[in-house]
Amino acid sequence: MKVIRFPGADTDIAAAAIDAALNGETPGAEGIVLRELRADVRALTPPPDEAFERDLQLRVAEWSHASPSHAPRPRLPGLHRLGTLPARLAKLPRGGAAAGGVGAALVALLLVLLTVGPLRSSSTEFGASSASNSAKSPHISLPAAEGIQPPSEQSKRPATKRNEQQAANLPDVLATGGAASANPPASSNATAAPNRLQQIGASVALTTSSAGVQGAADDVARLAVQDGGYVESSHVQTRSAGGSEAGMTLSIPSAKLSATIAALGRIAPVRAVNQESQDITSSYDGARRQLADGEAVRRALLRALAAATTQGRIDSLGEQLAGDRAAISREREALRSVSHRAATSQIEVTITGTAAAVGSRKGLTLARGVHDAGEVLEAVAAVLLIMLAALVPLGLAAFAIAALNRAWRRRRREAALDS
Amino acid sequence: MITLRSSPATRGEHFDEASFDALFHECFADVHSYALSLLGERAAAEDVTAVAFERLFRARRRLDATRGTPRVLLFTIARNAALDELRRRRRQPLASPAVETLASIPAVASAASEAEDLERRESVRAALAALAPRDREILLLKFHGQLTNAELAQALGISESNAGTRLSRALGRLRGSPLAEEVA
Repeated sequence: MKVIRFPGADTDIAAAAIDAALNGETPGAEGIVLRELRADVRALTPPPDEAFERDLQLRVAEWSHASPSHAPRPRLPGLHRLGTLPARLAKLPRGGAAAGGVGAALVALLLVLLTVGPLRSSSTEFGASSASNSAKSPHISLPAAEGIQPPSEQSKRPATKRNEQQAANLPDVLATGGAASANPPASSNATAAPNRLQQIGASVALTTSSAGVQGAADDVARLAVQDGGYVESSHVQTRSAGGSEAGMTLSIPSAKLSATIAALGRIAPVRAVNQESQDITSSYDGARRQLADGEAVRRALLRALAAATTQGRIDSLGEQLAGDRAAISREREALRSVSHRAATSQIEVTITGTAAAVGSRKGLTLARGVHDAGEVLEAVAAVLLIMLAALVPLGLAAFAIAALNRAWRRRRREAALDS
Repeated sequence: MITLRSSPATRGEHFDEASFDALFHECFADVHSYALSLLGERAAAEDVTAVAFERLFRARRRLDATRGTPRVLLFTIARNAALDELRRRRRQPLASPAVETLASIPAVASAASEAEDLERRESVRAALAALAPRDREILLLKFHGQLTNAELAQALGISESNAGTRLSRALGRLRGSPLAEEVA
């Protein structure tokens, strides 16, 4: 009968002493027994199959041969660094890798925005002079309550649609402008329903140098005449010390509204555009119905007059016809007025002269470049801030999900030992 | 004498293709034995061994030294692959089938030539089979992987003190097994 001695049978081996005992650093029987146990455990399994070992060895050699390390490395240092980026990121601690991932996502998004942003802006520029003024100014201040004088109906009806757009969005303005045609009064406005009639007005704020206000006002007046309209009212105030300004009210055919606004942008840099439209279909229909009714009454009176036999009846019908003629004339005038409102558009043009005009036609200057650069940097900072506000919570959530997923997978693996 | 110290390749210094080759020659048999003792089937053990080396080879350029030496990572990968295989097969990981399979394999002739050694190993085999799976697994990882307690902790993803405690308890339970004092 023989007792097999196992380590710890007599004395409890401390965890710290196990390694020392296995390494032969601890003299005595316990160390010897522990090493024997290790040898016995290792001897429980047979050696691997030689054929498998050879096969795996060959596969390792194949992996090494197919490894990218045997391929010529890129000569450009930048490309080389990009190629090893995943490896270098993986060498970071886990938190660092997550931060690196968030950083990379930020950089990628910033690149996309910087690439796409200018393209979008350039595609919405209008006019030859807007290359440096319209779309590149992300912070154009809109004038308050600048616009056309509302017609009398405008204050009564809540259906007024107001489109305030910056210069960068002018193509949208142009698309909706000038669509109403009065004769026949069927509106083809892009934002209006078919067969609706709209009265359209706009206000445009221009900025130029103080000395150029008068010239710009003259150009605006010439443009109005050129486009088939006229200047309803105007005032120009020039000051030698700066602060000149001009205000003009143009009446132009609605069909020319978009072209006129675009042409205004070529006269001076556009600071703001404000467009308003009002549906006047019901007014037009009402006026037309009243006219039709008046004309029907007139036809009935004429028929009655033809059939009249007594002088008294004839006189009475004559008086009624005279009154009806006047009413028809008024109704025609009303219908014409409504048609005119649809056929013409009012543009309120405000020209502001400043001592150092932004975007004057003198071309690129250092001050203007610095100003534009500041605005671009400000916009970029705002975009970055917004991106951070969105991406930081997303990154934290992704990191938490990844950690939970890792813990869950580990738990499932370990559960294999519990089953 | 087997020590827990490894070559520079297994310590992760300049781990290139040559180092990987050295690691392969040094650890191949140990990884295979560990996988075989866990899974109990030679074919599955060979699959796990191949997967472990392949994954380590693919990850050799981005090895994180703070997470352990290449040898530790190799055994971590092998352990994960073996546990995944166990979970996939829905088999009891270290229960009797595996041990029975091992028992059917002839003992190593060179070391077990003497009757006393054979008896002792049969007792060890029986005592191991009687252990709880987690205790058995940590002992197998310790002895086949020849890992220090710190490396064992890295492979298991636990603290070093926790690993030492678990190892010490596993040895204690092995000691307390009735089979340990069985008459051979």
